[in-house]
Amino acid sequence: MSNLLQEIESQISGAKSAVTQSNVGTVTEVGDGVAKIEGLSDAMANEMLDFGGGVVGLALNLEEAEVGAIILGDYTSITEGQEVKTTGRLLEVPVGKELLGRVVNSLGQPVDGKGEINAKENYPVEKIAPGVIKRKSVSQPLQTGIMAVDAMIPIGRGQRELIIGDRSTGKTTIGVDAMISQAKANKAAEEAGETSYRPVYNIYVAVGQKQSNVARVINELEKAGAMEYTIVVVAAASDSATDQYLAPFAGAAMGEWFMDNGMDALIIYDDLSKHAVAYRQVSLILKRPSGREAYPGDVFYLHSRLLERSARVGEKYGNGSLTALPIIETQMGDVSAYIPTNVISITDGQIYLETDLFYQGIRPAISVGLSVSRVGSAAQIKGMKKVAGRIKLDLAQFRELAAFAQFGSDLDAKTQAQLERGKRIVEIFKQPQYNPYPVEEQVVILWAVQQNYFDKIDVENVKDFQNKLVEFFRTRKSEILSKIKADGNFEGVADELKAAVEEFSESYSA
Amino acid sequence: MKVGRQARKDAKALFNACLNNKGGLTETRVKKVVKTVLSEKPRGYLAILTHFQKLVRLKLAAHTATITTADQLSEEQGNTIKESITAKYGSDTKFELKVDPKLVGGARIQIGSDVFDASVRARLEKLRQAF
Repeated sequence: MSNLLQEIESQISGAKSAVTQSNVGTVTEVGDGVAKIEGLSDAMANEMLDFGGGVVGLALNLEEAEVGAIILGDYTSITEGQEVKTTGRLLEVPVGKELLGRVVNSLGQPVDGKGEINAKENYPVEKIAPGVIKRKSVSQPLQTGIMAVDAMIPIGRGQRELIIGDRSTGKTTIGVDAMISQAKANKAAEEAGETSYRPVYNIYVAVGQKQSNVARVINELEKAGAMEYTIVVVAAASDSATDQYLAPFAGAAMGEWFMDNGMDALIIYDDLSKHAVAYRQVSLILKRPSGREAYPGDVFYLHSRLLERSARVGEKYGNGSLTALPIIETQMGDVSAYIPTNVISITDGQIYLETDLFYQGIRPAISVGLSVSRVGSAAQIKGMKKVAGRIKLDLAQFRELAAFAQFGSDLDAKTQAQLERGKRIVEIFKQPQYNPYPVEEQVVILWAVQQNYFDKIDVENVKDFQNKLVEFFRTRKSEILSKIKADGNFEGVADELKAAVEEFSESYSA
Repeated sequence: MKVGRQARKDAKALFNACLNNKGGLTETRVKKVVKTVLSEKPRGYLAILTHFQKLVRLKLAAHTATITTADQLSEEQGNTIKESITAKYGSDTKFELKVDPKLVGGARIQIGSDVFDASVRARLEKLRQAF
């Protein structure tokens, strides 16, 4: 009882001497989401500033007598002469599993009308990436479910793989497919009660996208049942440039929480060219010196510090990972523009999508020659490595020969065979959108290609043969599929696999 | 008005010339600077003076304590506050007393950009934010 009284007493005396010390400044200039503030002598870089009335800002420029700050949220209520306080805090966003299935803005506030998010933790938006001691090289696969990617440009957990291409070549679709694939794999593992499978959670960051596009993506994710494993961070085209600048960092903070807690996450930045444009706007209004194409000098650092936060950490540190799939839109296929070259050099490889291929009906329109994955092959499962090893080479040779064969008519048998094989591989890698294949089915298909089962099928029937083969395995030989999935290899079921494909091949009629 | 980089640099140099060895402003030199610049009219003199004025204003504000109270302070109360401020901010601090009934009660002291708020209004505001 006396304890309680003491407590109350101490609280009362605390309230009596409630002198609050703060550092203030006054707004001298405001516009376009940026304010100039005089005073604020104690402001720190990247510190949150309190404009009053629930509006916060971020101190970006610290000058001799002025502070340049970006305003988050509604800046129309801010007037000249208004008082601004420092808070001594960095900008934070809520993180955790509570955000899964939700659509939030750059500050982590819900925008989907599904009520409050009761997150237990907050993470700072800007955080230094894990250092060399904490990191481990990529060793676990991240199956995107897109056969062309998983076979030729494999992605590992913790990798950063750029998706680059012109407008409407299917960049977002690859990202959405990858997310759906994770959700399907998570669900399958949950239903089978597999404890060894590490689920992958998705974060989709939409920067400067049309609201209608974002709504479409969310709709697709919901339809595929992937939304429950996904956080969507939206800073749409109509949101202020400051929100667009912050959104990828907020998304990265949410992903880092999964990584720090020993889980795996996949983050898609859609897209970083618009992010760079938003940052350019903010920088120009802050009167920072501009460089090439009017981008500020630190636009490289902007993206490098963001993408460095994707990592695979060692067992000692929880064994988590954050895989990033940044998206860059090129103009007229020009990969040597400023922002594309920056991001290409930061990432561990790129998936290059070509307009020509797209209109030829090769979808996903992945250009095999220009796409690479620098670290992912270490993470491929054994079975896939065996069947996919030569495919990329075969396909590259085919492209070269195909161009050459257009002129000549007389081709030797070997060249002819290579051409025929190439045509079939191209057919096999065509895949409808939002329809990811599990890795074991991919292995079966590619094994059949390697063992020449596709060679006697006409090119126009290849897709049909492939679909029916998969259907056959799903319905009648599912034990082979599950064995391949469990082992990560087909060696243990090589005879059964051969018998099954032979059986199907004999009974097949187009 | 737009103040260029050169103008800012010049203004800063002039401002530094006005400081005495303790880092305080020398009033006579400030007046002399303004007079000379206006008579000589060097390139961009208006921009230089605008920035110079700003620097002087901030310097003065940093050494001026504005004590705002809800009610008139008694001599004794004022002296106690002034003493504790000079102890913290140095003897060259100037004082400005203001009365603002909007504070409801208590006092608010601003020196440069430091604010010590012990007013009832601030506490009410804090209370409002808690809900």
